[in-house]
Amino acid sequence: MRRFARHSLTRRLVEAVLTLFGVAVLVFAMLRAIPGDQITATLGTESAALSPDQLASLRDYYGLDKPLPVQFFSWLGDIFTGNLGYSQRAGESVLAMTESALPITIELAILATIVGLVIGVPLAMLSASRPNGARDGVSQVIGLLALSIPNFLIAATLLTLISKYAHYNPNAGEFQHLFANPGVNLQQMMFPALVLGFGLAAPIMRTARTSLLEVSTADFMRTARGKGVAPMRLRVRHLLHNALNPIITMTGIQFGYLLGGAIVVEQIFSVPGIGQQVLVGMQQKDYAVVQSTVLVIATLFVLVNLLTDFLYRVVDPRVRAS
Amino acid sequence: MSDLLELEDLRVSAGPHEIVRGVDLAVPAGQTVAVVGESGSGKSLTMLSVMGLLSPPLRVSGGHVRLAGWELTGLHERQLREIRGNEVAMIYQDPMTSLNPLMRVGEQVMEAMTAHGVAKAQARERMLDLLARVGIPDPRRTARAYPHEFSGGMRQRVMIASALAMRPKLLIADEPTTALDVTIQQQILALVDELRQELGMTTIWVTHDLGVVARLVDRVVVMYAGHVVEDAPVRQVFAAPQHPYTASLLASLPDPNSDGRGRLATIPGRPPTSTQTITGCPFRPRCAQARDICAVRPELLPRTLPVSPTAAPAAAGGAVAEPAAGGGAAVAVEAATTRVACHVPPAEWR
Ligand SMILES: Nc1ncnc2c1ncn2[C@@H]1O[C@H](COP(=O)(O)OP(=O)(O)O)[C@@H](O)[C@H]1O
Ligand code: SF4
Ligand SMILES: [Mg+2]
Repeated sequence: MRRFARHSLTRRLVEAVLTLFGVAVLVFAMLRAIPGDQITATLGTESAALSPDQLASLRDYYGLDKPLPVQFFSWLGDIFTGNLGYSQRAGESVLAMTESALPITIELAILATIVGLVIGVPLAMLSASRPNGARDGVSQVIGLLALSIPNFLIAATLLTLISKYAHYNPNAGEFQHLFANPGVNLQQMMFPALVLGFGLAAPIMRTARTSLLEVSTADFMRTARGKGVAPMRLRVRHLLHNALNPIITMTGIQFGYLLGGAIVVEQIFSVPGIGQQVLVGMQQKDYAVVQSTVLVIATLFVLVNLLTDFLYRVVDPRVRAS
Repeated sequence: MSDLLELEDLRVSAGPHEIVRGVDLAVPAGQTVAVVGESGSGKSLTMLSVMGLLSPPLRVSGGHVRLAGWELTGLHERQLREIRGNEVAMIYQDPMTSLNPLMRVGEQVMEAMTAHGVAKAQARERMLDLLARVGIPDPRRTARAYPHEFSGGMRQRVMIASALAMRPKLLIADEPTTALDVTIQQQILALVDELRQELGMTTIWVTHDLGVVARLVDRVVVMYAGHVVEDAPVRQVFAAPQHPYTASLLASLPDPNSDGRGRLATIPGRPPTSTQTITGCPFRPRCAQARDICAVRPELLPRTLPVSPTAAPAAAGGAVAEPAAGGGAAVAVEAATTRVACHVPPAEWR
């Protein structure tokens, strides 16, 4: 049993490494497939005026003169030593930039996920408690709305309305980090978290509703009712508990996406998260920033997947056993 | 009020389709009753209505359920909850799916008590006693196990422990051994019967196989297509079955004197489905004694008929005038070769 568990863990890790390698190859190739390079991005039209010698020395400086595989493996090799590269534009190492942007994105993702769960799960329980009833209809409509309205629209509207009528816009000032100034930080995070969380609530609600409805017809639910178990305990301890795994899967996937940075929402609310970092890097053709940051995001995604697997084990003793 | 359980014209429907079609059943306190019938005859739905456990689209669409004189039909869910697991408990058919896979078995047994206000510490004590009593080894350790770590027989023992936790007055065992291996079946039957005697519980055994419980019961109730077609002391049922369906059921039992391999006969055909509309006797398509009148008004047939086919009334019109001759009172009369008695007694007999 234990040997098998270790075997499956090893397999998971090998899978994870292969996935990340694939991502590295892909992002590296894609960046180079787009016309233009760091020199043209930095100098713009002025780059046309460069003499061949100047161009050569710049290419040498950026390492662009080396064959692509050499560039690729030297980048990858650097990453293993903790060197994510250097951003010419920002005048800062990508590691330092990431250390500043990533915690913001993680904080936002966690807050948004909490909002999504707090809205989505109770709504699903309400709607599954009497399928096709009035409550179910209302919850389904809310879910559909949340799914179909783009979050940037909600974000922009919310921001405009509140700053115009309530004269309240915490996101107007300079961004404050959680540990430096928690009061202001939480106010700044509130709207983006609500906007993202509202969007998250919809898929969570739908998954949870389906899962809850399925479990509610299980034989053991009838057994529990037959014992005279009270409704609250029935709903939480028997129903929700057994419906949890699909909800965890969906939440994990959505959380993973959020770690990639909610580019538009970060932009609207001036949150300097990882999404902004990638966006700016793309605009400036800052290879080092884009490729390393994308790899960091992919690593987090893989970690979230492993965490999801771990949570299955916590929830279900049968998974633990196999 | 000496009847512990009383069903009066109980009807269960799924949407427009009636599945249980007017069951009358009175079980005096202390009696052990077998409810038998082919699968699909409405046995489980009848019992689930006693528990108040039907869930949509199923519902009690008519009649009454009374327990110890209390009317259960139309009772509020909160009041039903006090009765379930407390006054009446049920053991279900499939132990593999009837336990919550994510909850330790000890907690599932305790829950049957804490739901009825037993303090946690006390429930824990009793849970350990109960597990030991139903034959689960090392209760302290096994209480912490999850259902998937148990065999089917062990799970059914856990179900029995949780059903008996509050010492219910009425125990309903709905095919508790159907899903189990033959050797385990006997152990579980013996265990429930022992506990029944120990606790003095009124017990209803539900089964599609009369042979399984014949030795354990006082009385047999036969159901067919949502009707009770026969209800008599067990000896009488075996010695002189009154309804052709009962006779067919008995004929399909394996011979107890043989090695149990051969079934003598299976009843040809299938019972009607709940969506079929039935006119006349629901057993008619499969009944060896069927005659024309059965298609129209079987309740007008005399309680006991001679078997000779020539005695069959030619037309409904002719038969209507006849019933007084046969009467409803005489239960069984020897005929030339077989006895036939049709299930629905004449109106004045009810
Ligand atoms: N949820 C349901 N919806 C519609 N019909 C049902 C439902 N549950 C059971 N039935 C029907 O009711 C009939 C009787 O079921 P049941 O009481 O379980 O029979 P038994 O226990 O005698 O085998 C079955 O033939 C089945 O088709
Ligand atoms: S009423 Fe007719 S068909 Fe039905 S059981 Fe009696 S004899 Fe058979
Ligand atoms: Mg059944």
